[in-house]
Amino acid sequence: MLDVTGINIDRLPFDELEVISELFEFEGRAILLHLRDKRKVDLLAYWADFDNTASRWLYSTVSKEQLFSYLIGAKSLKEILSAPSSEYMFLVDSNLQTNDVTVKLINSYLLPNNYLPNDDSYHIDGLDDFYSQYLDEWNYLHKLREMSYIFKIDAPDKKHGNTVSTKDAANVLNGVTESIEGYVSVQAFNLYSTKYGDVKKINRNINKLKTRLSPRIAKTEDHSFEVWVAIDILTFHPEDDPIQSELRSNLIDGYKNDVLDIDFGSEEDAKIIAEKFKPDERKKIYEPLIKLFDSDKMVISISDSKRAIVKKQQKIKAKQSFKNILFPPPTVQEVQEEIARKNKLFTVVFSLKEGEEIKTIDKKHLLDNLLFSQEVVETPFELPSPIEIKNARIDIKKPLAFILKVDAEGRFQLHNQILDLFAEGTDIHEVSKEIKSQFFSLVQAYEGNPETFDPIKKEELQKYI
Amino acid sequence: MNRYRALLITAILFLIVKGSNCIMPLKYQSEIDNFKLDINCPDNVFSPNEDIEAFRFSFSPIDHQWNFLPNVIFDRVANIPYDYQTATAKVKCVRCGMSFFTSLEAIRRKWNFISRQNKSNFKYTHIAHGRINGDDGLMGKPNKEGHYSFYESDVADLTKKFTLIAEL
Repeated sequence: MLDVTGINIDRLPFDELEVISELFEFEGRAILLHLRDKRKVDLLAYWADFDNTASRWLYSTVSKEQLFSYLIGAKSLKEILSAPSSEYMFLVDSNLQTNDVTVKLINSYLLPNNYLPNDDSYHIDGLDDFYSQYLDEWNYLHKLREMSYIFKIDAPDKKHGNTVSTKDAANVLNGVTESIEGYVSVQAFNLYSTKYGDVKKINRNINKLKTRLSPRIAKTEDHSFEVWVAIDILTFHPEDDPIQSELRSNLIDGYKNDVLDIDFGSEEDAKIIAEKFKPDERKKIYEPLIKLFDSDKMVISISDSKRAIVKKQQKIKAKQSFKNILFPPPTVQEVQEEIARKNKLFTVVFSLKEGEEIKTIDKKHLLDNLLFSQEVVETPFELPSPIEIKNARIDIKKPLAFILKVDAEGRFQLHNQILDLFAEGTDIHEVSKEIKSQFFSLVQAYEGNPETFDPIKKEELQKYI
Repeated sequence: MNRYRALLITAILFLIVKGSNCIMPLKYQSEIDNFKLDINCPDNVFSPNEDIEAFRFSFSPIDHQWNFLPNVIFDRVANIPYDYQTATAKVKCVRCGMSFFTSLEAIRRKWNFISRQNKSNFKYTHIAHGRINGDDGLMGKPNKEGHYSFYESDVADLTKKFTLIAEL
């Protein structure tokens, strides 16, 4: 057998090694084994050498990621053994005549090339049921990455090397998220409205879907800022809702084909988009991305895991002619209607004397004492006890908590995610009335059948009633 | 007397079948017998009705004395260590057969996984290809990697059915 430099040790430093599976055999003898010790450290044992009395096995620790890469055929056995997860490997010689076992600790870089298999030593059978479960976390991540859209951001100059600012990175993530959520809501609305007329119910479902399908970060890279963003349909199984099933099956390719894989300089593509989506839909989906492309602070390139979309690493800029088709300027009437319709939220700070009640002070006095005001997109909002609708009333233990938002169209939205209460509209009083009605229905449903409530929702509701 | 004779013949046939799970005499039956296995060996094998593709690791020339040996004998003559003491009865039975592959791709793939050092240790030089049928012996069902065990009949001459087709 080959003479390998190393240190003889008493035994392998792994306790209670068990064979998890035989990964490869040759003419009826196992030559590659997956083992695990009692601390759940994974190892590969590979039959590397023999002479007429002894067999030599190479033991190498292996990370779950490496094991996954090997079993899905992404990496060969040679690649795994050439780049082990540890600096050290072990050679175990078993003499079948004397039953002696010797163990040698070697540096991984001193592993003889002759102890490696061919370049083509790929596992071709894929993950079986056992390993799908054993490597569940990596299986999920791998599948998520396969569905990812890749956004790479480079700084326009190299003043700070290849790094980008956290603000720019955050802007990109926000813009991409807004665009994807916009696409989800547009597609969902179009599907639901073919079947249902109740807009409030549709919007409630859409809001849930936007949260459920909000994009995940599947991977980031060290150089510059590259982020893999995926819509997680893997854990989304809407078995009871055919509309959501249809949405699920078309979402990944749909966003890629409708939004990312287009020429932002082509009027032809702009016309296709204009035909497919209404103006407000285009705003939701494309405006967040175009804002990013228009920024001088970064150079963006877009791809996917299969490199089917490859927008080269040059500045993606939406031509003005493209933007004019997607976002035609509003008419005077449209502007006036929007001003009339649009609501705003402000945080304001007044200075008042002790004992002064804000409700009894006149407007002039308030404005004279205004210290600070800021427009905000959302704010906490509470409905105090009792909750009353028509002739019914519920006394609650504490004010009912919501998030109050004003959306891009200036509509109020009240939302309590845990209790799944959502209402929107242009009149805050109507919105409050609607949300109270939903709360009543919720309490009635709970009192009728509390077992049907999931524990989190139940616990939250019990804080109020 | 006829009744006893019939019983005796039945008993002998039963012993033959129990010992070999077949009626075909095998060339290396003695290796199976040496292990004194408590299972039928070979088991789950069949006599192919038609010609079956067979690829095998081999030495040159095709009539080299080490070609077409069952694993247990090859281990002995080539000094390849194998722990027969702790091997199960099923494994010992498999080692009493020889290894064939259903395709060139399957056998090459196997070779890719052997360390360079072990390739040198085995000393195989070629891949041999032939077609075998029921007259040549009994075969196990090929696994998903295209490998199957083969138990040669005592009248077969595999050197006449195989040719060396590729160097390793």
